[in-house]
Amino acid sequence: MKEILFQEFRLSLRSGGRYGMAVVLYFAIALLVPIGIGPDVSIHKLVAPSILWVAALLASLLTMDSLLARDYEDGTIERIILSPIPLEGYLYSKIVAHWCQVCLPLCILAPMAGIIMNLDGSSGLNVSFSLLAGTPAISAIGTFGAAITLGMKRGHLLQAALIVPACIPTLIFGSVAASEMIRDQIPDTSLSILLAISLASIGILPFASSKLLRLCLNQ
Amino acid sequence: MNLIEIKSNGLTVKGNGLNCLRKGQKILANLTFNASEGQFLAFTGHNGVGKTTLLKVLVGMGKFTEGTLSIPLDYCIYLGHENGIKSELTVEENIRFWMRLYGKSASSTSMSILGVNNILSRQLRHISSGQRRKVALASAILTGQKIWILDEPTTGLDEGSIAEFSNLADSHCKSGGIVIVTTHLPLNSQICSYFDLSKYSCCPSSVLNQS
Repeated sequence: MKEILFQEFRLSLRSGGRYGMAVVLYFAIALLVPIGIGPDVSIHKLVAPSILWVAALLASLLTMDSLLARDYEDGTIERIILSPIPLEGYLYSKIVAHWCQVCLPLCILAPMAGIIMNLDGSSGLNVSFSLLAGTPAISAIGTFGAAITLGMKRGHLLQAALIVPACIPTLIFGSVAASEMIRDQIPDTSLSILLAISLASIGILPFASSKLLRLCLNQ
Repeated sequence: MNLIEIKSNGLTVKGNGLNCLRKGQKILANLTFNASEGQFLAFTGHNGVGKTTLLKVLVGMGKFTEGTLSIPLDYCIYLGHENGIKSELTVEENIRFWMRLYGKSASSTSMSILGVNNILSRQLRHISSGQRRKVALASAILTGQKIWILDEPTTGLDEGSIAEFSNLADSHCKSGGIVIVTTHLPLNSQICSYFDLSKYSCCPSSVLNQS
């Protein structure tokens, strides 16, 4: 499995950081939303956790159309199916690679984006923490969406339509957890649910995605 | 040069009375074949007869309705029409990836088949489609699997490379391996048996092609 993971990192580096666009979009949203809202700093601070979460979701969405499609088109998945690596292991590697290359940079850069939105450093770290807890679910749901729409014409449109609603619970509990931590409240319930969503997504969706991949190839 | 060490344990690929489907439509009927260790089997037939469909059925990526199929998938390597290699990586990195996936140690010296050792450091996007096919074949062959299932492996290869591939397949079979391919053209093999799928075809479009 580590071979697939290294291959993903190598491909990302060779293609000139294909996931860099996610970071650009993330900062663009963090910059543009306060301008759109106006100069009231208290409103910026109020909406910043939710906006950063929405920005993280949209930035991740941007990178999900190529998650499995390239491997499908160039015949890699056909060869992986017969290899000693289980298909679930391949999908886990894809999820981990996506999270490390897209979501982890967003988590690390959240305090900087928070400063643009008039959040102080510790509040930005709270947003980072909530993103760390919730973004694994986004990567797993994205991979599942990619598996559903594999081989379809204009599948990325359907993929986006499927992934956005599926990510709503993560978004709600993620932004609630971040807001509670910023207000110095203990986010017992919201953070627990967020972690539960992440764990359930990581635990279940790769297996469901592998069934879908097999169905897709077994036409 | 025998690159692959094989221990004989009596493997066979056997289809008996298979009815193969493509997109839900039956295109091959009552197909029976058998390939055991040391055999090189080439499925032939006109376009659309169902060669690729049959190979996909063999490797579990296609459907059949009747008959029985026996194939030890753990010993198989499959290469379809697409190469399964990445244009951003070098030839060596691509071959190394597939070898490591199958638990083979990947040294540059072992990659001296089909002339790929001359282009190891080149990026895939800078080589021709025929060379890419050779890289894909090398990456499949060097995994050391005992049963090769290759869909039109010689597409895009020059005559010399077709001859070299045929020799590799022959020596693999002589060492106890099994090679199953589809092809339109005769291979330069000494031991290859050709199996024409046309007489098993039940697809209207392929009957049209034949006429």
